[in-house]
Amino acid sequence: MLPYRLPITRTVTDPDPDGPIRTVLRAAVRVEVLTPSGLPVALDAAAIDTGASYTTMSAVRARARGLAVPAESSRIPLTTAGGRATAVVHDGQLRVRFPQSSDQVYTLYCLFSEAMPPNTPLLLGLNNFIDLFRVTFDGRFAPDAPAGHVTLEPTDASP
Amino acid sequence: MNHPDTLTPAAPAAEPAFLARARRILGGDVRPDDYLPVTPEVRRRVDLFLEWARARGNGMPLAPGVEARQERVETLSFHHGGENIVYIEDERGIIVLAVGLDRGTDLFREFHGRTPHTLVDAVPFPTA
Repeated sequence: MLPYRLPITRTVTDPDPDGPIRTVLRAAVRVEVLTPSGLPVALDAAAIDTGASYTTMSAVRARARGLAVPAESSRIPLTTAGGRATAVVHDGQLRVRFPQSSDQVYTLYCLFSEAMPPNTPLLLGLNNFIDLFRVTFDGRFAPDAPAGHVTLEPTDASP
Repeated sequence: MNHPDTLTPAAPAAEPAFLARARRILGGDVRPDDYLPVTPEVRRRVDLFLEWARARGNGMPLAPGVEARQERVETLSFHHGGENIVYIEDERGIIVLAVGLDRGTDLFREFHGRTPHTLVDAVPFPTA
């Protein structure tokens, strides 16, 4: 049902036993990506990443799941938390739907990255995600979302 | 998940054990030990989350479903954090059918679109 209200996931990690316990917050959503034949592939969990300029998916993972990765490639400078690098990418599209309204298909501009390991979640980046959805982060406590929630509201540019 | 699934393709003469297991499960023969276990470590992590959540809510009761949702996240992360997996899910829990990208590919090739179950492709959050 629209708008989509997604609880923020909170987990803890202990990456360094000599350091503090780290809290990890994630805004993630299950999506179904349609293959060229129309079969849906359920991906759990795509991360809503406002630090990513583009929706980005591992090219290796995309091919492994039968998604259409264009052959044409280019290089793009990527600035990540780990520094600046150049990656080979393929400009393409993802046809995506959400379980909350499975009859509605959204077309997302997507970079399929050869540099992204296959065990990386699909990143829902700004271009063109925020054309289609108004995204609101609200970290306040709610009984059904103790770590807060994200709201996705389709804009008038949504189909 | 005990319904016979006539859509599940018949097994070839010899196939890897994980595919044979998946075929059995998708065919409706589900056993209790097929489900990912909620270990004491998982339970401890869920309890820590609930303790934090209740404190954050200043005594406001948590909604039904919050505990189960956290248990699901922690269970997946504890057993398969950072790994490519393919799983199915029902009201009793999660059954992982393939671990590793290549096995997942084989599983999708064999069963995708031929089972009423939703095959979920996932990389659970790492715990460390």
